[in-house]
Amino acid sequence: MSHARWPVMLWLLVMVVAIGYLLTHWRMVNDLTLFLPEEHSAEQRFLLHQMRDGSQTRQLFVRLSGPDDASLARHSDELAHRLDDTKAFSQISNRTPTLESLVATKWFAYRYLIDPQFDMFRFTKTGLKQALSARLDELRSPAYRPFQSLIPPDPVAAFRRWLQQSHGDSPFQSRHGVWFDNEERALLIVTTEAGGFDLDAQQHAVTTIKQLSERIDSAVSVDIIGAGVIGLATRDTIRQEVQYLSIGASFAVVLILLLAYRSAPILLLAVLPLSSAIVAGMVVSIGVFGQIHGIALAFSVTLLGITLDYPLHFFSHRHSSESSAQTMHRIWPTLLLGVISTLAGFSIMAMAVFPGLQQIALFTCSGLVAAALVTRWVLPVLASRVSLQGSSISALPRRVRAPRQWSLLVLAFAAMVLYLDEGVRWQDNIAVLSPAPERVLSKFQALQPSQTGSPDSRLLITADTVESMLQLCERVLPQIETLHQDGLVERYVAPCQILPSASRQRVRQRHLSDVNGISNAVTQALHDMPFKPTTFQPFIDALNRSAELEPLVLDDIRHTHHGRLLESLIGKDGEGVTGQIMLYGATNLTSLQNRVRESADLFVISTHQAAQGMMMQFRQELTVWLGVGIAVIATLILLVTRSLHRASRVLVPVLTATAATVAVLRIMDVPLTVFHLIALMLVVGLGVDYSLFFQRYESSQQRGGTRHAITVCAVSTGTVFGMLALSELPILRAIGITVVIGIILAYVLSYLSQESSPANLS
Amino acid sequence: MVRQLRRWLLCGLLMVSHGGMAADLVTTIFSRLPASDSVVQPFTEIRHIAFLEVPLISHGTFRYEAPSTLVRRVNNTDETFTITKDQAKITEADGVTRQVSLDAAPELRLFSVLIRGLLSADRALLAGDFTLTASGTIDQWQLELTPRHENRIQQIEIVGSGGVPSQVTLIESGAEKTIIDLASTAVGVNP
Repeated sequence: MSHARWPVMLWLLVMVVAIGYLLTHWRMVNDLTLFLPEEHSAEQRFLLHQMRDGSQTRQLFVRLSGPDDASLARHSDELAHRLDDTKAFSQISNRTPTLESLVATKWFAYRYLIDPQFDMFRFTKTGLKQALSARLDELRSPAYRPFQSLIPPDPVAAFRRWLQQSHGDSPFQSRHGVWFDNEERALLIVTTEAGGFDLDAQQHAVTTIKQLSERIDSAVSVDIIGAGVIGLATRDTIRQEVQYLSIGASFAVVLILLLAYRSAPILLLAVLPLSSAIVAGMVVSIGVFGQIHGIALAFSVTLLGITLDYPLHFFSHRHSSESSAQTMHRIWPTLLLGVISTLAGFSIMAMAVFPGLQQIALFTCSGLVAAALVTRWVLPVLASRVSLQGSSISALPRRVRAPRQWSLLVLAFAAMVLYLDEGVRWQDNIAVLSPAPERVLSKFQALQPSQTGSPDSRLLITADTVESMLQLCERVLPQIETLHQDGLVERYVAPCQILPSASRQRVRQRHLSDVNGISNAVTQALHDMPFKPTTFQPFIDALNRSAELEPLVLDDIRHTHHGRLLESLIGKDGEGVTGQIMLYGATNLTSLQNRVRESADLFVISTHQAAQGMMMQFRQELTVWLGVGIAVIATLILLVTRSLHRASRVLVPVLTATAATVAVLRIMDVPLTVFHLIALMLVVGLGVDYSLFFQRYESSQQRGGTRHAITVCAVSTGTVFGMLALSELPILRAIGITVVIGIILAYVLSYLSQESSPANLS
Repeated sequence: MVRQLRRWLLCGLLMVSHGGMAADLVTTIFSRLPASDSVVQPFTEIRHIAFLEVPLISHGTFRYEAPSTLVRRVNNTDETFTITKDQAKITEADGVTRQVSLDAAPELRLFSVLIRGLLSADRALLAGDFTLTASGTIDQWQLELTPRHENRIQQIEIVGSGGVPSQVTLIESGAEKTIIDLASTAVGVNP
């Protein structure tokens, strides 16, 4: 074997081992939570927990449309039973529980311990007399007829008060016993065990529902909506888009390279660094994370398109008077500086708050290193026998004479645009994190049952245990009631309204321990009343039993209707428990916040405001890291050139292009998101690459090669990202538009900034 | 044997003809009942409840307004039911409003259907929740309403004469019953 060929053999060996590793360890996931930021504060932790695993993200709305209400109701029940039999779902609901079914639950046995307005006065002779008179009046009204059977076991109406305050009413209308939505469709709510972003689990859930619903009447049509379904539709769109874009981009790049080099062998060799980069990225990602995310893979492969530039620099600089090794040796320092600059840019994503972006950073950085190594040591060996005849390198135009102050003029224009338009406009809506296309989101938002309202703000209670959270909730509830009385809150739902703390239940047990005394009070209260003397024996029996009960806890009632409602108000994670008091119609958030500020364990958050604040914080962090990235690149170039003047000649076109990209986006009225910032980092990386080559010290013949290389690079990269700009996916579109504008500006400004005595970057 | 068969056939014919007559009587009764968009009907209600030693007596008026509002006034206090499909919005005497799903309160559903159907002479509305049979003559008739689904109200008997119902009896489980005397003639508006 020739000494020069060992890098090729080593590369082949590494590729074989890497592909073998991928075949045995390949694991791709589609959990979209990787693209949610990691939480910082308690509010953010809660908010993101709700987004990842909140009951709303796990709910699927199954709607049945058909000929008549009666048959729809029958099919709704049938489907609910079938789904229940699978044991695959945590909850299936299609009807509000009847009073009879509620009386059969543990809640009824605990009615005197969970009464939201417990007052010992009710158990005195006077209190009981008042209660019995009230019940007598109610017996005259058909409106209270459903509660008639509850009078003997509960004359003080404790259970009824609890029912009224525990918010167990369904927002849906009920016909033939089952729920219907406003569009006359029978409605089932199926709650999955897995979070809405676990797309594989959601796919399984949707398939199960569809399979079971197919067995019911063919005249009944079934549709399913919910966060999981949006996720699945988004995944399908991403798959389709990535497929179309990959084919389109590959075709476009092949065409550009064939036009530029008119050589099939060069075309084949040009893809080696890119394909090696993709394999390396996959191996490192799976090695570090144990899996690879579908979207991370798609985005990384897109970003690694930059590695296609490396062989292009090499081929464009080649000429017949030198060997391929000599060509590589000549351009390597500049190429290496470009690689390091791009590495610095991409590695910034590792600092991002999204684990998905961290995976993209690792994938792309390892890919860049692999592509650089293959370009440096493998490509020259394989390209040594490739003929350059037919190449159109010399056909490219020579340098256009233009004022060197172009960059400064453009920079001034960008500054003026941003100044006149009141600076950069940011989009801090958390919805931008969603990879779902607007078409998919708006379709499902329109289908969502309108009855499912969400609160304006929430009061969060953090504690170590559910019990301590409930105790804190009980302490703050009078304040909330005052806010309600003052008109600051229209209505509220609190976990301790459904289940009082165990300590409060024990206190009530102690109060109710004198059952004989209460029994005597009943006898006295019955004087002059038309009730038969033994009517209230079930009441006395219930009081006797209440004294002996173990306090009711969440685990006892988890699978009841109200238990599930309670669970939806409680979030648990490794750091403790967060209870939420839902505040509806909250008009003055600041006043609310001031009133509850006394306790460090309480936070009032507006879901919308908190999400926006979180996004703003993440964006500010990313902006800082973007600045750090640019500073690192600038320092690197300064160290290499050892001259402020020379470094500025490389950097000014790049920074101008970056600023002008922001200005153009402002003119286009595109608000910036975190994804635009990431794309800007890529623009800086690519721009530095172009500028470095344009500013190299070269002969006029070498200049031709440089212009050819950078033109082909810019055209191919611009074409690929131009395709992304046409994507339906907001993230891809944001990256595509930004990079296309940035590349055009970086190319033009770097080109115009060439000088007759360029900086010596060799 | 043949004689016995003839006797059975005769019984069958009598039953069929009686059923046919009953069906005709139901139609005749509803054709006589005044149908109006707005009506006020005085009543006296006597409730026999198992755990009460004496019946509970209330006096008041029903006011019905098409299509779905029923106001029950007892002892000068208003209790308003607004029925929309399967929901009842109840505004109590103290102004407190409650929303009740009639599916979750089947007794309330039957009661509201009964009074609305009777005051508006809406046979179709009643037939949705009850099977209707009639006996007697148009001058002295008895209408029996049996709930189509199991309910605490087991049967409802309405007695009347011509186009005037005079008494409604709700027979409830546990040997309880409610008698509603419609003593005075209903006052109709927009007949």
